[in-house]
Amino acid sequence: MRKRIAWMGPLNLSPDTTGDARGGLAGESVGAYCADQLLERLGEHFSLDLYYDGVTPYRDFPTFHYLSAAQRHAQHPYDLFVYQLEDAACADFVRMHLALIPGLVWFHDVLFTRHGPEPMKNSPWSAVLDRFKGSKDWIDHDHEYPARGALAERELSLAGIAAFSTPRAHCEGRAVLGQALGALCSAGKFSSFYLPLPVPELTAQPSTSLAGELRIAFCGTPRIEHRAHKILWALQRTPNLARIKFDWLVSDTEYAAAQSLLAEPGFDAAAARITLHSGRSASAWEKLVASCDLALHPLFSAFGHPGLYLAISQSLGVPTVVSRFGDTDYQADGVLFKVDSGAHESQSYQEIFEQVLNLGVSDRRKLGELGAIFALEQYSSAVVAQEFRDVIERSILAIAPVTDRWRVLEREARVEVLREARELTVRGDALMKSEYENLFGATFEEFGWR
Amino acid sequence: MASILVLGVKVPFTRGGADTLVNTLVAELKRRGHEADTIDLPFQIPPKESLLTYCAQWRAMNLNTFIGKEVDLVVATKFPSYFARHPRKSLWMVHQHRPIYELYGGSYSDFSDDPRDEALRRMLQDADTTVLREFSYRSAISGTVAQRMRNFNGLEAEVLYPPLPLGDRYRTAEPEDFILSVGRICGIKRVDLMLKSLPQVHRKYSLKIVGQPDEPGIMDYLKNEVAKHHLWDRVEFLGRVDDPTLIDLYSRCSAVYYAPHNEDYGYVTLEAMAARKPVITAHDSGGVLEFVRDGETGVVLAPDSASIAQGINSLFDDEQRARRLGIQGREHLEGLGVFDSGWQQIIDRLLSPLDQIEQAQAV
Repeated sequence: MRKRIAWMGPLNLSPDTTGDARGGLAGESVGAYCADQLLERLGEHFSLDLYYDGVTPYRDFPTFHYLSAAQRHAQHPYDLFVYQLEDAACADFVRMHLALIPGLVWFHDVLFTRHGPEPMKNSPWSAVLDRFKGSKDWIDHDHEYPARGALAERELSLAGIAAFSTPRAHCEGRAVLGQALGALCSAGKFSSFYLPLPVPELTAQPSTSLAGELRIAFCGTPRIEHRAHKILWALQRTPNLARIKFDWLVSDTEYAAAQSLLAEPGFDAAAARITLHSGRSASAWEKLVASCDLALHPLFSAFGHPGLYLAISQSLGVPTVVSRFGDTDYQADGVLFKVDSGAHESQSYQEIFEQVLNLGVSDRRKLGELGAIFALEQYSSAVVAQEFRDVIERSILAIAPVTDRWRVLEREARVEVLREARELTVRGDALMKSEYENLFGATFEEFGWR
Repeated sequence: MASILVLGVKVPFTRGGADTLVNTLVAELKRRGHEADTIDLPFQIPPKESLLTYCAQWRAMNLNTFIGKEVDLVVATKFPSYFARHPRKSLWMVHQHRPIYELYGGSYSDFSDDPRDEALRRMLQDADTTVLREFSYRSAISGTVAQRMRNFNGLEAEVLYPPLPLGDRYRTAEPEDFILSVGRICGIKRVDLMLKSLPQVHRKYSLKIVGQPDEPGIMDYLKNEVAKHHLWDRVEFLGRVDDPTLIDLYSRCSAVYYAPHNEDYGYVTLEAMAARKPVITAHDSGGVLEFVRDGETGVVLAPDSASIAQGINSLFDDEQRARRLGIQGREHLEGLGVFDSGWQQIIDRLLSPLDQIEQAQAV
């Protein structure tokens, strides 16, 4: 009998089905892209039910609204809930639900740039944890909780099992995350995994550049952390600018900001060589970068990571440029160009542009070969799906004690709600106090409110 | 002729679309010779833990006979009236308790990730599904409401749009330079969005707001917005108005603003269209979008003040277009059975459980 898995995360649905989802539709979502890559393969081994904040079916999978998950779980229990979590509005419902039923949480981000929906801002999660660990008292309903910082402390604490799609979060991050991680588990019993972002086994495309030309692709935002201002300045000062074609892919919401940046004084020559594309998504990037000679993925920020888009470029054998910061430390220097962020950053980009420009088209692709091998070994969806399968099998075993204790907590919560309901009705009313059972007992019995 | 009870839920000292629906339904039943009356039980939240007892109160009542007269049918409307027990139940769903459904996880729900809240949500949702299955006929006031039942409870319901409360009394006059906002004043109706847009709307247009607050502190907040944006001479709070005044305001306005978050139905939309006025609404306004088509019968905008202001300005830049949208709205409405003539079909459908019994008896 195949194990039953509840998979909860954003999904890529066809554009004409946007009507019934508040945020689960996610062209730009890392989680949705991962689902595209993995679900078919995982579906060969597990019985998968998909949940998001809509009901339109995804491919041939049974697909349900996430608020029906608890009901369906009660009727026919799942062996494991798998959550995909990222710093995006389309994953807000995942942030809500992972606190309702513990499971394996695949973190694509551990720092959030936003508090999320209202209930996240004033979540009683720390009091819930205390209760889970044996505290006798329930917290007051009206208690207010202090605003939290960027660290996904609540989500890390409530993850029964954690998987991280970036090596930094998995390795060094564990020290930073400290006690937050795995608070549901007994000391020393917590499991966490590194599960890289999967990309399809892409076939390298021949460059469409003419001899002596260079095609560069960039998919960063116009915001400072993606270094667009440094790249534009480098382009502006490149002596052979006329031989460079530059494609810049941005999201629809950042298109206007990108236009404004290009219109800033001092970028006129560079801007003239740039074609701006809207509709940023992983699949759009696949198409755009496939025929380019160089892909730019700089990022100088604790938030986010170049992960998925970088993996796509590498997988296609396109030479890549990154910031010497964060997750890219985990790849050898020869696999990609690493640039230090700061005073000499523009100069470094400019030198790389010149270096690649002066190579023949076939020599340029050699620069990307190591990256392609690395990507195939690490990121191909077949490899990640196999790894994921093992992680799920191990998680099913590891989460059992957490789930057992959580069920006790749920029963305690139910008893407390019924006590509160009675208390609110009979308070200060002696007659109601004596008659409560007579009046409502049968109804409470009928609905199993006991 | 049958004896029928229409089950309503009353929040004392407030009045909304659901109250209008219950009253007009009873009046229409009586007009057709039925003996009809309402049963209203009071309702208030918070605290939300009381919801279980509210459900149990409805469930505990015996609605089968009164003064020796057998009740042939009960028609339930909104949560928790449909918990009532009766051998013949018909449902015209106004709405379920939305904070446990599509509002869950957002600012309009008071349910958090506290396990007690989750336990309560599951108890209510399970019980909803159980009692809604009991109905021999299920309908809903809009596609939005029907879809909610389908998504969360797995139950189908026929859509029966409630006819306009004032029938065909709405009229049109030459548009004056004001936007009209009508409805209960509370967070989810988003009157504040219009107020925040107004500073960016052409100065000659003002805003008239009809309706009463039904949320603590909401008027202080709105008046603060008025002061903050120096809108004293451009915003008028009219409170509750009588029917002739409302008809007059609809007739003279340039457009009607109605952009609640995921509205169930919204008489206001239909009233505006009946008065041949374009409706300004938002992408996430739910039932409103079953009637308003962007650029055909109104404008559908992103729910932020900048987009609303921009949409209003471009609507008023072309007065002929604004008039045309209003006229098209009225034309669209004519085919929907939402004037008085629509009542017969609604009553036939709501009373269909009685036909089934007659047929069974005949057999």
